[in-house]
Order: sequence, then structure tokens, then C-alpha cells
Amino acid sequence: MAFNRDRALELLRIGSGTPDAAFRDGQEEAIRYVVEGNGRLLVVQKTGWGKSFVYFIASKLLREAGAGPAILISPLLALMRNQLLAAERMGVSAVTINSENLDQWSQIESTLQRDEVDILLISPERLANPRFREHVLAHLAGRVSLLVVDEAHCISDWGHDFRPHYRSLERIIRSLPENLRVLATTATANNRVIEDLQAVLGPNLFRLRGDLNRSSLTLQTIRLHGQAERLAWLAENVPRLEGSGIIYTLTVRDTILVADWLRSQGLAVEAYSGQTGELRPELEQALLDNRIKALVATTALGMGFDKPDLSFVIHYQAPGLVVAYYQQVGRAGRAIPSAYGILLGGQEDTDITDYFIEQAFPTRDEVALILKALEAAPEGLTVPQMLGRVNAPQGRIDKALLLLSLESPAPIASQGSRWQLVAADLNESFWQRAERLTALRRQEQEQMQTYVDLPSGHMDFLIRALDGRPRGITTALLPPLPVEVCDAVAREAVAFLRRTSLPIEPRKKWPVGGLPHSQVSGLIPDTLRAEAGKALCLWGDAGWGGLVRKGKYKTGTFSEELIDACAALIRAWNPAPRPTWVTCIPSHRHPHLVPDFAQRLAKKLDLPFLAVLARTDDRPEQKKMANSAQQARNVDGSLSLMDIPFPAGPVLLIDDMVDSRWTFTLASWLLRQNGSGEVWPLALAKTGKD
Amino acid sequence: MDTPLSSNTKAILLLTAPLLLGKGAEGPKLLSLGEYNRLAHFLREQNAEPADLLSPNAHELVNAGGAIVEPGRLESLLERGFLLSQVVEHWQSRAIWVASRADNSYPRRLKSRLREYAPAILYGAGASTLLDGGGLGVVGSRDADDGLIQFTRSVGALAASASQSIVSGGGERHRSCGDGRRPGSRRYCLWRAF
Repeated sequence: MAFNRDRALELLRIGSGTPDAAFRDGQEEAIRYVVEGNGRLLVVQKTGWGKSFVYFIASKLLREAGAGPAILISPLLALMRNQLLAAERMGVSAVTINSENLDQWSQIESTLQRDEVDILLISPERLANPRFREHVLAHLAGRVSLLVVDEAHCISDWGHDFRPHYRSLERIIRSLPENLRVLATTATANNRVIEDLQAVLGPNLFRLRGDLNRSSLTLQTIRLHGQAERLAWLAENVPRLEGSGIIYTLTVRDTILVADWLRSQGLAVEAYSGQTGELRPELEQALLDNRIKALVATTALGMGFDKPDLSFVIHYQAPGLVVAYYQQVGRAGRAIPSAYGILLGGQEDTDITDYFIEQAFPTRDEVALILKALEAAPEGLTVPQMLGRVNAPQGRIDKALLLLSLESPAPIASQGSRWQLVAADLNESFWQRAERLTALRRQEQEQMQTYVDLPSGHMDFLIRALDGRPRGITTALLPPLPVEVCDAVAREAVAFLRRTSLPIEPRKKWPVGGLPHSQVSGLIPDTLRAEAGKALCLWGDAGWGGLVRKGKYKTGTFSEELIDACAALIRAWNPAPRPTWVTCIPSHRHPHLVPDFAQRLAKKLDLPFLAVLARTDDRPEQKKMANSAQQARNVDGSLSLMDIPFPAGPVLLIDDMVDSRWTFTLASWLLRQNGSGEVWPLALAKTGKD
Repeated sequence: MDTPLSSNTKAILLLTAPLLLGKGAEGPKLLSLGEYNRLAHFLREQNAEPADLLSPNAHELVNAGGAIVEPGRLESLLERGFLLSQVVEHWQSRAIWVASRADNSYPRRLKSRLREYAPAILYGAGASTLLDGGGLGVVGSRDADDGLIQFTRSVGALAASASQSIVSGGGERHRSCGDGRRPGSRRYCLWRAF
């Protein structure tokens, strides 16, 4: 198909809203290559280069020449809003189908049937969805003229951003005939990733590769072990920085914690993560407009977010690998002369990244249990059914099922919501790959820690780590930031960490299959549920976590400080209707620990304490149960009410730890059924990772 | 079996297979076995093979074959590349393989016995190499009753004890009987052949 250069340039100018815009280095070449249909193309360019112009203009030119629509596959469509606006200006009819616009599906389906869509944007997960394939994709799959694979490094085993569904995308590309245009784009690709992509995309791959240096960035690393010190550093330094930026944390919980702290210090910041939901566009816009100083975000604020004048990117914890760090820090200083990229290394970094590494693949035992359970059930099993038979956390079962089903050949397949064995065994290469990738993640984690300890030469290190050529690296444009924190602010941060409590959401449903001892199933009626409770801290955290651990495992009694802290928490929490008495969860293992604490706390609150619950049966600790269904059954029948009259008023129900919430749920149900008022759960520490 | 499809197989599938993904738009008319055989003959005369219809300069070849298949129809069929990838992925994820007459993995026994009547495309599950050793075919109604199912099972057991393969069709219940993971049983299915 012939390439029309004038029309391409015209589209660029309309799309960018700049009448004299010119193509950036390589853009025109890429569009020409795609339109002419010479073969497959891999574009490696840093974010902000304008990859979206390449695929939008190419799709428009193809459509204008009478070809079928394009399909774009990207892992993070929600963040493409800016690009979609540009597409709209160019008159490119771009539609996206995702779980958030379910109500528009039928309208989009008919638009597709009328052949009015130029480019359809979907996630790899959507592509694998049976309903989507049968009802939407079936209308246009026979005419697709171009497949765009965005963030193509995800295809590679060596890509830092391994996404399970890219495994099937890899196979889809391998089975595409050579006459279908394929454009793969990525911002960062080291040699190993490029070799992998070459193997998938075929030998006739044309590559366009840009330069990795970001000369506007002033990079610095500072090791501050404790959370309090790092919070203090942020409070002291962020207000001094010009413009606005992003503060990255590794966990959702830390986005909230850091944002709360900085707000308490008078800074306009907001927390942003995958759980922020509908507010995400609004928060992004607030940052784009410089109405806030910073977004405190997880990597959910990632690929596709483009703010040319972002002045700083600060990491509250070190990510697990250099490639991810380079991508995140590279969002700063795109179109301004100078910006900061600061990384604060903390003692918990490695624990958190270890957890991510361990979560990536199921263990041999888990897979064996799952396959055995399926073998015993020729009709197949749903996930809730499997939870009752396999003692593994649901997250890990889900992960294992997904990875197994994406193997080729796959040992299992799903039919609706049921999983079944199929006529293929799991290949040993599955495990070899898992081991190879885990070893790689460990190396990357080490490399990142080396970066944290670098005294200088940060950009050079990053570029070499990405197999780029460090050229034209100049000395830092901005002065280094202080590496020490003021003691007074650090003390304030400790006090803040100690004030922070965590919510305990009440359970509303009994587990699938019900609880045989208690003879309950289905929904828990409103009047028999626990109320929304509180936990003082996270097990082992920097606030109260240390003291809780010491009380439970060393001194055998919880300290007076924890009593004061809980009393303060209850004052701030102010549950209504107010509790009129106090009780606690009994334990055979530590018969005095919790009752003693509850009794002292009751005294402090000036409320009566009554031990009315009893253990009827010794069960293994809840933490040994790997999923919620197993935990619920473990508690079922282990608690009873003693024959002691108790007040009908609201009650404060105390335990030292909360994990699955089943103990609180069952105890609340018992209390309410026997005439107590509202039950307010209070735990000293919350365990589990979230 | 997880070898990628050969370019020839891809081209033959594009030309002759319905590639069903759902209730999609009616696609272009597929080539019949006769039409395909004439096209294959033409390609051989041109010193070409089906895969050449996918190359960047396939246009000339498509036009040259205009007397056999109208070029517009041929192009519409060849445009179904993305659809092909989706359907193949669906098969592969269920351990179903595809082989075309141009592939080495195509059972030699079928090719030598059936010659030009050998299906252009074969779909199957299980070890395709076993097909060269022959086997016992079990054919039956879709609505087999329990007695027939029992009979089929005993045939399967007999064949397994005699180290003979069962080649089964794609009938829902017959297939599942053949799928039992019995030790020593060698099983595979052949599905709809073009």
C-alpha cells in the first residue's frame, strides 16, 4: 500500500494541535514501514517519543486506503486518555473495550459491525476472554489490517514486566501469517529482550531504536533505613522542590500512609493506586494541572501517563529492578530543562520485592495439589470448590490456574467458570522457566540495590544496565538534596505512624458451602454481623508493630503503652453506638495474654470486662490455614458462649491479631445471636500482606 | 505438540478453513477441495507454493491465478490472518493440532492411500506420529446410549491390551471415553477433516 507523506504530516499537525509540528526522529520512517506492509516492525523508543502518533496515523492511512481496522493490545488502557484525545482530533475512530465500559459494549459491537471503527484498543486479558472473542472480535477479526503490540517487552520472558496473558499473545503472533502487519513498541528493551522479541516476531523484523539518556534528570540515591526517617525526609524536602511530581511506593497501603503524613504536614498530595478506582482520571488531571504538589502512587500510575513538565520523581522504596526504575524516573523532566530523580532506599525494600518474586509462580506442591483435585473431579471444579480441597491461598490458586492454562500445551482449560484437565501433561519446561525467571529477578534485585549505594554515575549505570550506550551524559544540573533528616521531624513521623490505625472490614457472607458446625450459609444478616472494626497497627510495622511482637513472644504481656495507644485509638475512632462493655477472644495457647490486656483496657475506658466466650476445641493457628475457606472451617465450632449473663448493649471485642477475620465474624455472630448489641472488633495487629 | 504452524499450513487454512470464532460476520466464500486442488496445481506450475501467497509481492501471483479464483475473493480470504491466529490459539490451548498436506507432520499413511483425496487440512489431538502405525476407528452416533458407550469402552480396552491405537472421531461422548487417562492406553482423536 502506498504511503502518503503529506497526509501523514497533516494528521500529525492536527493531532498534536501544533500547525508547524514536524515528525520526530524515526516517526515517519516507522509509519511508512507499517503502511507499505514491508514486514514486522519493532520500535524501541523512550516514553514521550510519540509512539501513539505512529500507530494512530498508520491506522488512519490504512483505513483511508480501504483496509480493515487495526487492533492495539496494551496492558494499561486506562492511562491512554491523552492519546485518545489526539486520535479524536485526527478523526481516528478509536474505541476501547474494557471492564469499565460494559454498558457501552452493545453500542460498540454495532459500531464494529458497521465497520466504523479504525482502531480497537484492548488488554491482553480481554483478548483471551471468550465472550469478547465470540461477540466482538468475531465481527472484525477477518479484516484486521494491523496488529499493534504496545509495551512489547511484556512478551519476553526477560521483560521486567512479565504479564501472564502475554504468553498467549506470543503464540498468537507466532501463528499470524506473514502478510499481516505487526507493529511492536516498547520504551525499554535490553539485548536479551530484543533477542526474545526477534524470536517471536520472526527473522524479518525491522528495528528502530532510540537513545536512552535523559539529560534533564539529576539522579541521587539516599539510604534511610526506617520509615520514619524517610517520611521526615519527604516532609522536609518535597516542599523545597519546584513544580510537582510523583512519589512512588511499593504498596497500596504506603500510598495512603505517605499521603496522609504529607497532608498532615500541610502538603497538597493525593494517594493513587489500582484501588483508587473512578477517581483516577481526576487525580491525574490535578497533577497535570499542577493543582497538587504530588501524587503518591504505586506503579498503577505508569505506562502512558505523560506530563511533560513533571519536576520530580521520588521513590519511597527501591523497586525490584533497574528497568522498572528507569521507566518510572524517566517520567520526570521530559520537556523541561531539569528535574530530580531521587531514590530513598529503606530496610523493607527487599522484603517487599521478595514477596513479589515469590508470588510470581506457584510451587510444585501447589500445582500437584490442584492437578490432583482436578483429576478427582472429571466434571471439573470452580475456584470456590477448589478452595475447599486445596489448602493454598486463593490468590495463589488463581495465579497457578492462570499460568497453567496459558502454557502450551496447557494441562487444564476452563469451560465457563469450571476448570478441567485436558489431554496434555504439564511440560517440565514450565518449571525450568519459573526457576530461570526467579533467578533473574534475584539478580535484578541485587543490581537495584547496587544502584541505591552508588555515590555517583547514576545515569551511566542505568544506561549500561539496559544495554544502551552511555553517550552525552553531562554533570547534574541541580544541586544534590540533603541526606540527613532533622530529629524533631523524625520524632513527629514516629508519632504519626503510631496514630495510624487500620480498618477491619466486616465479613458479609459465610464461605461457599457454609459452616457445618454452626449450620450457617449464604449471607450473614445485618443484625448478626460484626461492625467495621480497627487494628492498631500492621504486624511488625514501624509504629506499634515492634511492641506488639515483643508483648506476644517475649514478655508475655502487652505493655501499658499499647493500652494507652488503644484508648487513644478508640477516642479518635468514636464508634457509635458507644460500646458499654468489653469482652475478648479466648485462646488455649496464650490463656492470659489477651484477657489480661482486654481487662486493663476496659479499666482504662471505665467499662466492665466480661469473659463470656470460650474455646471448645483446640485448632491449629489460623495462620497455618492458607485460604479463607480453610480458615473459616478451622474456626467453625471452636468457640462457644459460657453460661454467664451479659449486657444487651454494644460491646468492644478484643483480640491480639486479625488475619482472615473469621474468628471475629463467628464470635460476633454468637454474641449477637444471644442478645448483645453491636459488636466492635479491635485487634492490636493485622497480619497478612496487602 | 507445540510446533508453530508452517506458512503453507497458514495459507491453506486461510483459503479453505471456516475459522469459526463466534457468530461473526459472514466471511468470503471458502475454496472447495476441487478449487483448492486446481489452485495448488497452478502454484506448482508457477514454481510456487501456498506460502508464497503471503509474501509482500503476492499481489502478482494472486492476479495471475485469476482464472481459477477471482483475485478479490482470494485477497479477502488471505486477509483473515488475525482471525486465523485467534482460532489457532483456541485450538492450541486445548491441545489440538493442525497439519496441512504440505507439512512433514501430515500422516504419510493418509497421503499415500488417499493421494489427492487426502484432506488438505487435518485436525487432531494426541501424538500424530501414531497415525502412521494405523489403528482402529470407532464411529458412532452423536446420541449413543449407555449400552453403546459400554461397548465402545470394551473395544478401547481390547485395543489397549493388543497395543493397538484407537482413532476416534469428534463425537462428544465417544471422545470423552477415549480420553480416560488409563495407563497403557494410546489414544488420540481426529476431528472434522476438510
